[in-house]
Amino acid sequence: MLKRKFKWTAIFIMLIGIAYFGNLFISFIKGDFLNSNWGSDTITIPTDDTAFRNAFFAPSINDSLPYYEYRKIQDSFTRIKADIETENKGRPDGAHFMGFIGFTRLKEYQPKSILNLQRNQNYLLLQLDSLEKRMPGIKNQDSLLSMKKKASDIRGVINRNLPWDYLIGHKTEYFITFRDIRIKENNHFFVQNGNYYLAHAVWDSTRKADGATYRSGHYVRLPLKVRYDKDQEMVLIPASRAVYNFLQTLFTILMLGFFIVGFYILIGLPVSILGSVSNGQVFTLTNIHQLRTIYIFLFILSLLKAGTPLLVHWIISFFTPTVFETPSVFESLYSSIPLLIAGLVVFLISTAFQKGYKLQQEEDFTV
Amino acid sequence: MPIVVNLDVMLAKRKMSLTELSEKVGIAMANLSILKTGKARAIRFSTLDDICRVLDCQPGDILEYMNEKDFKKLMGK
Repeated sequence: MLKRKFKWTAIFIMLIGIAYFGNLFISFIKGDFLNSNWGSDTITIPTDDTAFRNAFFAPSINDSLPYYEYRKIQDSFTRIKADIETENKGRPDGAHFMGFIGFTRLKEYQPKSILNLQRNQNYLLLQLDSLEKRMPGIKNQDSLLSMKKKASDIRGVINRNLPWDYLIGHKTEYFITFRDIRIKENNHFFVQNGNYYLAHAVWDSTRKADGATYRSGHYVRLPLKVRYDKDQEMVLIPASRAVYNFLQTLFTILMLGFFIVGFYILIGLPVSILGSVSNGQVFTLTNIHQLRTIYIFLFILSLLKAGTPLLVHWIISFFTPTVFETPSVFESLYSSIPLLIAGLVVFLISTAFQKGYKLQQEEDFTV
Repeated sequence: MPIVVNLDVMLAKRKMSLTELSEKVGIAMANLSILKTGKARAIRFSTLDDICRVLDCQPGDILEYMNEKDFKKLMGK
């Protein structure tokens, strides 16, 4: 029975090892060779792309203009583009990650024009402050009246020009975040009027020629319930402050517990086993139980590592149409192979300890 | 395993204590106790030889095969 268990475990380890190192070898030899047979994609980009919040806006400036005018227009376009990009990305107000899940806060978008007003406001407030400080020392009524008028004018400018939401502070938006989520190729996320959209590529025709694939299509505007950060490959699911705080506390406790348990099992137990081995107590039931705990934990970890990307994709599919790439099962399994191998090795050691324990018992009870 | 160790019977017959046997045979008391209480899983020929020599008996006087039913009855199971 034990022999059979050993045999099958050895075969299993061998197969996993072959798959792991074989895949490493193939990816090393081939590189991107597998993708080299791709043809090309042609997508019709609308000339008036207001439907996509200027996601594809590539203006041409008349280069016969005088340099300062050309530069002014170019700067203006750059500023608009930067403003749009900032709005699409959001202004981070704090983020932290716990394994596969993260918690991100974004400040409500504040265009540059408002930031300029902020600077102006500070300047005006300083002026006002200085005027009001100087007033009590002035005896000349005309000068005092002139200063009061100036102060009143400054207050008027502040009240007229600054939006109230700026004066009362900006709203914070809360998001539950998942990382390593890739959006499908040729899709562009954008924000418009506080709503989230996707310029989604729809393929009208696909043809194959000389072993390569050529596609042509157009963009459609697709409303989304989630934000997407292309740079960090991150999906941000909006949540209320209460839900955000609840989940953050819950996951902090869970991750802390998991960390403590993991530390105990992966560090504490091996140290304890080594300690008892060095004391001459090798084949004991305690050691066998501790080894069993270690390999079960490693198996659970490898399962979690393999299953998490699929679970996350499943969660996201509730919020959004299938615009994100599904993680491949093989890729998920592949990433968990080192943990699985470690678990199997500990399993074999544990089995050897069980055999050792039996022999030890026989030896101890032989007179 | 329905093999009964009749060491206590032989000791009584020879009017010898376990401590005395332990001293004469040169086996630790703990090991003889394991044998006497039936917890032993195996016995070496050398041990059997020593015990039989000291107690002046045959191995069959010390070890007895019993059928499963009687053995369970004896062990009170």
